[in-house]
Amino acid sequence: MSKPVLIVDDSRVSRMLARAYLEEMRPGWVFFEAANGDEAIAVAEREPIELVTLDVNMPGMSGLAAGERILQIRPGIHVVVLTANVQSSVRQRAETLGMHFLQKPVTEATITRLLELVEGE
Amino acid sequence: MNNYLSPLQHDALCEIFNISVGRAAAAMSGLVGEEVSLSVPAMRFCRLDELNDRIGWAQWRHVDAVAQHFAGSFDGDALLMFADDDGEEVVRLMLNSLKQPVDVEALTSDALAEVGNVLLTACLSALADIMAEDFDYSLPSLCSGKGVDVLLQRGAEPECQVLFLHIQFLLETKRIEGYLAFLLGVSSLDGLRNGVDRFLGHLGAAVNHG
Repeated sequence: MSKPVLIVDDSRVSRMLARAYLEEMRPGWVFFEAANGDEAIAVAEREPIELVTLDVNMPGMSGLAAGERILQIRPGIHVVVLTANVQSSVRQRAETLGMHFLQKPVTEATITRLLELVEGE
Repeated sequence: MNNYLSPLQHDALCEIFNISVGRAAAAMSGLVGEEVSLSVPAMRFCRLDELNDRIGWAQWRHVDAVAQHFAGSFDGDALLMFADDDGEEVVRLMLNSLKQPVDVEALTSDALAEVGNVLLTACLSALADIMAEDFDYSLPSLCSGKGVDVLLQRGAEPECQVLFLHIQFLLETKRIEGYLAFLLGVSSLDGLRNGVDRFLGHLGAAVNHG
């Protein structure tokens, strides 16, 4: 099944790692990338995105603000915050906004857990 | 060690740092698939330009560092420093897990910045939770040079007094060595001390700094 996925991270390497593991585990999925919140919102307006992975600390708009806007554009989709910023306050904000929360680094185990979260519901 | 912290606060700060760096070490271990061992945390309060002699960086040809500024009720710089070519080796280990071929050389700067971001933010997040803080972080920046030069590139004057907390980590099978360090100016010490006291208060310790 083809699922449009948006990977949002200002780090090129993190986007590449997340995409490579997801492509390997779900070869039929379609991937879009964004390096900041504004780009992510523009992609979400244009494409029928079903899953978003989202870094928090990025230039300009924070990932949480971008995720909140994306959920207004595409209600009910899965948004997974994937960040090293695991302060309780950040985790609570993400969960209040209806987002999943996972800690970086982006590894095979992290992406396996991400798939369990979004496919287990 | 100085007049700014009581022995109890000094001990508590080392423990807070130890716990925080433990989270960063776990993140690094996940990145490179290796066990990471940590030294005992150490604290120096001195002029910035005295650090070279006190830390023992002289044997390193150069340092690759990733720095992030953090700001809350106190602020400072968090640094991840690798000796010589060890930073590039960490990047290679991180990208090794990919089955598709990648141009490691082209990705090294970006990858090193992300390694720093993951480790420093993990460490600072733990610190924030322990001290009941809420930090904002800058984006990671790369710098390299000889020993203390990388610290001077953060804009501080060589003669300014700083609190330098550092811990050495080692990936034993790969002989990779580095430091995680916090650099705080004197103006941040009151905020830092309050954070330590909050930690001690949570522990229910009798805070007697006499």
